[in-house]
Amino acid sequence: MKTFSNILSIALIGCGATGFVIASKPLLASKEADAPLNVLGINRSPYGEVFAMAMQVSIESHFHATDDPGHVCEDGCNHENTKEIKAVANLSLDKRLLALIEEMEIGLIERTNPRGASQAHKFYLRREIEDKLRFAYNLDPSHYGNYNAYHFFLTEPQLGTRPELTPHAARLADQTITYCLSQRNDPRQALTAAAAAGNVIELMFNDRHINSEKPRFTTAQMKNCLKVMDQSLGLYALLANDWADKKLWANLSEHRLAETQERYDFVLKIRDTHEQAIRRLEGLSDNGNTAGQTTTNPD
Amino acid sequence: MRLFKLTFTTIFRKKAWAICLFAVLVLPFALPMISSVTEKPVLMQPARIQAAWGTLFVCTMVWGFFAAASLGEANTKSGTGEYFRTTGLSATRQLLEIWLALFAYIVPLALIATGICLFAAMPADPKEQAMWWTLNFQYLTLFLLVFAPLLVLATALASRFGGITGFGVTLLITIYGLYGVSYLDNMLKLEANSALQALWLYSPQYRFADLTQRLYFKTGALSNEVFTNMLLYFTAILAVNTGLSRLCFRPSANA
Repeated sequence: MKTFSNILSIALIGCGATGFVIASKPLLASKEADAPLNVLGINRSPYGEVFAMAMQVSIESHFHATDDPGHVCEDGCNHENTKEIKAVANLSLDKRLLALIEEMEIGLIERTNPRGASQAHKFYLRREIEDKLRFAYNLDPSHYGNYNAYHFFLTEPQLGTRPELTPHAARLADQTITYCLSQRNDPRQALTAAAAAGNVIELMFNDRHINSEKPRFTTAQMKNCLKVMDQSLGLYALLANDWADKKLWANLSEHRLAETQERYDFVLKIRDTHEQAIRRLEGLSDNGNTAGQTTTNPD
Repeated sequence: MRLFKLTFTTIFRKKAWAICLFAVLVLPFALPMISSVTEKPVLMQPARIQAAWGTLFVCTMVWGFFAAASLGEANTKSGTGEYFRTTGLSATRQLLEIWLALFAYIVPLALIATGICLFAAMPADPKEQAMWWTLNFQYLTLFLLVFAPLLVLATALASRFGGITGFGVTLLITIYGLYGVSYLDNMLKLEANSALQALWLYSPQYRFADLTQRLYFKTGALSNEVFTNMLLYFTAILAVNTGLSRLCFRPSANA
């Protein structure tokens, strides 16, 4: 009886393994079954959007990680200086605990080693920043802040060259625009698409400074991007009205509303600047001037 | 100290400590071989430090908490606690002896990790060596100060609510204190919320005790002032955890 039971077990394992191997082959080859790596479906999900926002602050801490001892905070730092926290003698328990935690927080990342950070450490941190930016971007590609931070990191000038429209940055912008314009549930996503199109035009202008003799991009291409920008802004207006009708803006906190307004104004301003610059560029080209002599400053 | 001896022998006979000892001793030297060290030998020391402390954290959080919880549960269920109570050993005393027996295994593991950092990853520059000793001493102290009360908590919770609860709850609290609070903080910096702010403020911020990054980036020792603050902070948490554990611990099922 025992032998029969063992044979049954072995037969089950054998049949199962064979079936598993046979079935897995077409499944692995099938394009339909191939899903991108997305743990718990978090990327592009509503939870992903919240995490994407939360990522922003942790990225900033990496920028300061190699600061030398005696680093004095500039306006850009949002962490407070240790000295200011000292005067806590007559505060409430909450405030005192908060001050203690903040002091430990600063102490934990403060550099006390007399030797500066090594090149390898700095390189590692740049890598870390890039990974974090990409991670945050993947969580929510339509987030205005995360897209722009990743874009500027990728096109950041290195060794004195101007920011260039690298294939990587162009693909990132394309991907963002496609994703954002396919979404219809939040006007703010359209703003991200507009910002992405704006970034592309800006980099096209920069190209004219680098290759003043033989510009890689024509004004027609720039105009096409401008059209995408207009299309995105149109979508924003449409969805914003829709939200106003449904009273959905009321769900947003004041901070978020102000942020959205600020971004909208900024994108509009950028759009107008780009339009004028393109017009001036066309005028110069018509007059027979080389495009490189333009004084256009896309910033 | 009969319960201490009994518990110490029980842990010894279960042999799981040997896996942890092996991991803490061998992994810091084995793991760098599968990292980018093979291409860049200069990264050997940082990789070793990270492996040493990483292994110690995992061993303490998985084996340490699990052993603490199973000891607490066994003490109640097997009648050992009841027996020792009739011999006049109070509940608190029992908790202390069980904890001490387990802690006697954790301390050597932590000393080994510190030893590896001191003797197998010491910076070559003599200017950095004094700082290195201080930083390692600080890390060891903070680590023990954080994990000692958590082990007691696991035992106490397990004695009342069962082993799985004792282990799971303690593990979750530790992970929350080490990493969760930072995520909560990031969200609060973007948008304030008074209820979450209060939760964050009164959470145990164990992340301050994790000095691994300071070690492998050679950021330097913590200043005396900050270190004293951390000692004070974690001692206060120790007191709270001990109080909770004393309330929660029961030596027998009908106590």
